[in-house]
Amino acid sequence: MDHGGEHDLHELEATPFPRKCCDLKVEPIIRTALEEFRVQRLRMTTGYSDLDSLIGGIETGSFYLFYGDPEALDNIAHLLLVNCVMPLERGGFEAKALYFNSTDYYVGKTVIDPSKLGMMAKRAGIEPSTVLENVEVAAAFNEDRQLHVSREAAKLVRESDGFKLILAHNITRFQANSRRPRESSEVLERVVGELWRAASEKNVAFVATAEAEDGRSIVPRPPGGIFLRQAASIIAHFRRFYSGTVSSYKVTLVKHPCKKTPDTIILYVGQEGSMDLLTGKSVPSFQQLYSQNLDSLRRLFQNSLLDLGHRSAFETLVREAWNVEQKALSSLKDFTILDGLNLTASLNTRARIESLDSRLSMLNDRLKKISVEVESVKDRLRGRRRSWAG
Amino acid sequence: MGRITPSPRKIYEETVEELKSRYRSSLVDQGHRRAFDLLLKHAWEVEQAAMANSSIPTAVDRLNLTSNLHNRKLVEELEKRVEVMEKAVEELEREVLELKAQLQASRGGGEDGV
Repeated sequence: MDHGGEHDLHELEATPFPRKCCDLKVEPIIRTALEEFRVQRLRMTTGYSDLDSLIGGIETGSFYLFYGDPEALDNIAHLLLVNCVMPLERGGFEAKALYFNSTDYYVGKTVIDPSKLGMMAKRAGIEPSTVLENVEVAAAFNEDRQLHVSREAAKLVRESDGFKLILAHNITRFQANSRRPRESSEVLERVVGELWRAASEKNVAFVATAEAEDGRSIVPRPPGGIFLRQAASIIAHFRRFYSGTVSSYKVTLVKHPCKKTPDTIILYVGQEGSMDLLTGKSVPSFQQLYSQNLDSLRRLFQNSLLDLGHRSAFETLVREAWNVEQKALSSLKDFTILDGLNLTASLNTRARIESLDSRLSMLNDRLKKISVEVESVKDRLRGRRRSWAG
Repeated sequence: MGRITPSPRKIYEETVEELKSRYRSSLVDQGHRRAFDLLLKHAWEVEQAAMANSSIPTAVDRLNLTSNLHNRKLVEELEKRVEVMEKAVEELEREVLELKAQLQASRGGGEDGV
């Protein structure tokens, strides 16, 4: 097996790569209007309506660069993977995604966070295993590996028709603090070139994320040098800010082919999710979510239960467990409402079993006492019979 | 573009198979293994339609909720049985007390008669 570590940068220099962003396009420059019309451009939601209105959603054949707060980018990256797998009618691509993470081996050997991905899938209403099955992942722990993985990824995208999203997370990780900035910048150009060329050929959306370069300005310059700034068609910056105890994100549109820049929106952090999930402006309260979930369960689940005992058990749980423990349910941050309902139902049932256990042991004690008393009555009766007989 | 979201039925079967082969077989307590089989037979298999019809996205959540309902139902049945037993024990206690009182009374009467 060929490993990225085996490649030498100088050896790789011999291979041609696009030096300018105009070289990246492999589609014919001139084509008929009908051909242009027939190119099917799909558009996917980012999961936040405000962000969609700012950048126009994620469109196939476009190159997006998101930079800034690492947590926000991490959440956005995971959410885009989920959305890519989501059905078309729900704003997804209903297609496979390729996730390529550039990660520092010494800080955290993470390829992807399956737990976060699963949680987001659940919140988006899709089976987590479906998402995990349809996301191809690769990680690079150094520049050589990054280059190797980008080639493999580009090859995979070209060979398969199933991909609609390439997500290159932390793409400037190795270039930001490199001791050889010029060579690093060339590697970045090649990595981006490989991926963007494949994405462009196969009409796949290409999203790259990068941490912001240090700077005092509120909206720092996009990272990755002039090449990345020119290659990306849409660039947005994410900055975290606190208003009292509530943290939110300010998203600034830095570059867009059709919109006036800079333009800004605020994404409020939702009440649920200490992972700082961005939930957009209209954050429903816990009470709303709770009621919606219960209504949906009553309508679709409870009414379809065959066993009438199960139906009445549902109502008992609503009355005695869920309604009573709403405050505890609302305090669960990393879980969905349904997780909370299941957990509370289990606790309630366990508490009932404990109570049954103590009632049974009390019954046992009482029965023992009864049997002792019955024995004593019997003894007395025997004694009396004996005295009568005497 | 083909369908990449499998049907609820297929997801259910795959999940149960996965749970059977990996989770159940790793359970240390034999009672838990039996409980798994009982849940499969009396809760999940019975309520497959309701699970498929629900808007709950994940198979494990559907299984969990159905298990909770089933357990809750069984607990309620047990509570009723315990209640009946408690009443029966109460009745027994009352009868024993009556017997003791009668015995006491008859002994008292006997002593008076001597």
